[in-house]
Amino acid sequence: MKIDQTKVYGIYVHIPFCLQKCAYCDFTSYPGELSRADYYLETLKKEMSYYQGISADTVYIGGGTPTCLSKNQLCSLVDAIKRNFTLTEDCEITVECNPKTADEAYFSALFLQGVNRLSIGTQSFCDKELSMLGRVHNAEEAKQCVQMAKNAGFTNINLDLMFGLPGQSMASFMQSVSELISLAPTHISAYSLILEEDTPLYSRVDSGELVLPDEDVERSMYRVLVDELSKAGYQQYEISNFSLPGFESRHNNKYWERAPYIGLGAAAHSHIGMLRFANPDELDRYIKTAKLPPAEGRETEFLTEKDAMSEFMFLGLRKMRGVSQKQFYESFGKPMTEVFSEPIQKHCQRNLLEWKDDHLCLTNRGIDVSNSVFCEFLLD
Amino acid sequence: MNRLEKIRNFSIIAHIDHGKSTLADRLLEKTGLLTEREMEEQVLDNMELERERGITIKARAVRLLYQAKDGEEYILNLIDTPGHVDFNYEVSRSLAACEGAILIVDAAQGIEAQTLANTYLALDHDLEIMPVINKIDLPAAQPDVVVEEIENVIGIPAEDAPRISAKNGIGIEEVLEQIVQVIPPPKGDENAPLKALIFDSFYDPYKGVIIYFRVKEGRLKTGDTIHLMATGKDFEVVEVGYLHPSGFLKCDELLAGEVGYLTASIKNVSDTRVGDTITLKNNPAEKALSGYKQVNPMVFCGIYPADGARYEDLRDALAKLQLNDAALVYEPETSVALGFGFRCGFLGLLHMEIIQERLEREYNLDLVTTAPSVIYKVTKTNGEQLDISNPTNLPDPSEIDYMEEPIVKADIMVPTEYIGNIMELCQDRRGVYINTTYIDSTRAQLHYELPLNEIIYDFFDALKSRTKGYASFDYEMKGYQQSELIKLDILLNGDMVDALSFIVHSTKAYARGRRIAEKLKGSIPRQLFEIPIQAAVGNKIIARETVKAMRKDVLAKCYGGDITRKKKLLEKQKEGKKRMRQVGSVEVPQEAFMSVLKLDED
Repeated sequence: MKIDQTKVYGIYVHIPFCLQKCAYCDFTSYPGELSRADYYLETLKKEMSYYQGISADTVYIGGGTPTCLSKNQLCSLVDAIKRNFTLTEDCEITVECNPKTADEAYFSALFLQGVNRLSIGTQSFCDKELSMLGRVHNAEEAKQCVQMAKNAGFTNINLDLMFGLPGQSMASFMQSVSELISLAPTHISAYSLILEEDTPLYSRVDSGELVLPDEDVERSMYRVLVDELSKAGYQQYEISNFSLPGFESRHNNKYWERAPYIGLGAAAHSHIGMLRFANPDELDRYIKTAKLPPAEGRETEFLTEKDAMSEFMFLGLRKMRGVSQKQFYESFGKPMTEVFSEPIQKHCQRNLLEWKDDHLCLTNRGIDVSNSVFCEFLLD
Repeated sequence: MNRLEKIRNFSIIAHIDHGKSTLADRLLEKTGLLTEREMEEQVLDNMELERERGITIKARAVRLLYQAKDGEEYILNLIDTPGHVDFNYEVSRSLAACEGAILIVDAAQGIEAQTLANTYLALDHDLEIMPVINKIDLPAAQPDVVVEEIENVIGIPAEDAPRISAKNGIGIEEVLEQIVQVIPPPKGDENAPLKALIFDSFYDPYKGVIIYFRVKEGRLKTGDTIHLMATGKDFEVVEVGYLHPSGFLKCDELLAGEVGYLTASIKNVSDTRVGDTITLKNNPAEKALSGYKQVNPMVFCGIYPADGARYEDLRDALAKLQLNDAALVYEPETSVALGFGFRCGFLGLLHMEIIQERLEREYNLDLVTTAPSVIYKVTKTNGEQLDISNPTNLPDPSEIDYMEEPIVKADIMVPTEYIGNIMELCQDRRGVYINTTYIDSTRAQLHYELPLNEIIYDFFDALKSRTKGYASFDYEMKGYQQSELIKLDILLNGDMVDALSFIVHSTKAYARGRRIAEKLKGSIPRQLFEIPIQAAVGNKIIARETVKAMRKDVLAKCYGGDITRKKKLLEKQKEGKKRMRQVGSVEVPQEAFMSVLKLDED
């Protein structure tokens, strides 16, 4: 395939290794395969060589747990990215990490290597919940981790928070929220727990051993979260994402805005031109596929204009700002209200969508049932 | 010995699972050796048939050759009977083609409702009943007790009944020997004008309709022009023959007393009605055989394709099924809720279930069916009379003078410990108690008159669940009776759902309405708004439930850049919505329509 060299891309690198798998996780990661990390990193470098010289303004190294690589391994990866791609001067370079997998020296090394943003999987500040989730750390260790990151020089830090956990009470959630705020991150990703089949947590809930809070409680948690974060100065800019002004995740925004990005590593996804394609999940298959040029030998979806229009809506509406009519027209040459007249009218009537000048966005109630709204924006 | 004395025509009657088909298989096995000549013809014939269809033909009447101990070779014609009350008329025609019937009784279970019903039917036709005690190898077998039961309850000697295990091949020889000794040979003048009784017919795509018949008088050969006395149709016979255990065998002609098949390039089974008399066009019999009647459907329901786009497929499938089943009737109907479908009529519940199952399995159709209905006779205030099988067509109450509903005579066989439960059930179903007859100290037969509309829902399930599966049940039509009937409607979010309307006795409307509302609440998923479910009689709401608005349907999780996965989830959700029926603004899953058919559960 031809890659448009004039565009500026985002880069996602997947590190499919973990110390242990969390009880709720169905992402691609292979605990106990760390011995293959060197070979995996070599493969990544090979894969990136196809994109030599391409410009990028965001890099996101996610996982798995990237920080379960050694300091040197991770630094050499960042170095390889910097040498292979042309990174913009203000390039956002994020590394995901989990408490207990990195110390201050580790963070310092990353910082010196040019990593300027950390995303730390704190998830909860209640030890009971953390152990139920199968996290390897406790609340105290999470707080120490944030402190170490700050000591190492990081000023742009995202913390993850989960809610709607089995057995979680409103009180324990409020406690986690206030602990989180007191750590003063610049960015917060807050996820409602989704039980994926074939995870240990799913089985425990399915068998009745664990009980999820009911939907009303779960939604109140979300509302409380939005309110508390807003009081503390965090703006909600997407269904699950909050930040201090100016600290939105530029990389994640590319997903919602249909900007192009390159995915490297097992299970990584790319969006280039009219194609979306994915590397194989399985390690050995990925290693084989990585030798092939982009999109070749990979699961590939060619986006039609209809696909693109649908994506524009169901991705863009995740942002609080919503989708711009003007931008839609510029992209597709058709009025949004014509292409999607039925779902727009219907959902505005039901008070799930609303207009704010040029922008169509979800109402609070619309956020709660956003999937039901989105699926009507799929075009046949 | 003359020709007729070496023929025996018989059926096997039994309660379901008492071993009818196993015994039939054993009889075939014991007698079914082919001569070399037959083998050759057979193989050819079978190849042709298989090329055309690749399905095995159901052996409805098989000719067996049996070398008896008296040294003579006998022709035994085994005529199969359908095993359920819905096909009572067909059973009676099959029996009318016989001189005797083997009555199989399970040595462990004894006499059941169906055993009795079929036995009485056989006795009505003056058949010689030959009891056989089966499953004597079971640990729980009590052959002596069963023999006594047969003698006491049915009143026929059973002392000499063969005690067999069809499964293990024990006592089969004895059965064959008794058939020859006990069952009388047929009578009939082969030189009289032809009278042959049709006891079954089915459509074969290769040969056209195949008629099974018993020659009562006269003779029938290839090339004859036959006249069917009830339908008045004439056909030229292409082929006559009989069914050998391994396939069709052509022969030159069939004479009085014999059983066989014919083909005559007939396109439609509705021309070859079971019970009709075949005679010759140029030498007709004066009078048809007695006992013919046109069978009419008793139970109706709407059948709709789950996927509206498959309406044509459903129509084709019904047309194909009807080729082989003259009792199935259908006509197009439209429902606001379910779209285009058919109102179908069946002989009874089993018949309905069989058809639904065949549509789903053989034609790969997903169906939505409405609650079954009977035919109500409505007399309007202006004197006009209507037959109503679709509740939607019921006139406004102000125009109705009175209504009548069909009543059946039901015989329920039950272990005595469950009599109370069954009486309670029948009471609840508006049954009128007639009497109880005791089979023995542990089992009784309860006789009730029940409105048919009370047993077409889930009566059989209810019967089984109240007796740990021990009750057996049989019914026949009694007639119509005036009754206080009303139409119950279901409203979703204020809109009436025509497919859920039904006719019910006024005393039961409230309970039924409430139960349906509860059931629907359980099967309609939460939606973006609150949905009131109401049951109404006329303008009066008699029950209400509410499906609360959906609280949460949000994908908070970030799947990295995997937009494809997100899209697939949304597509799945959209597909799910598509499979639902849009009733006003409410999306109703198929299951919701089906859930109201089983109100007795939990």
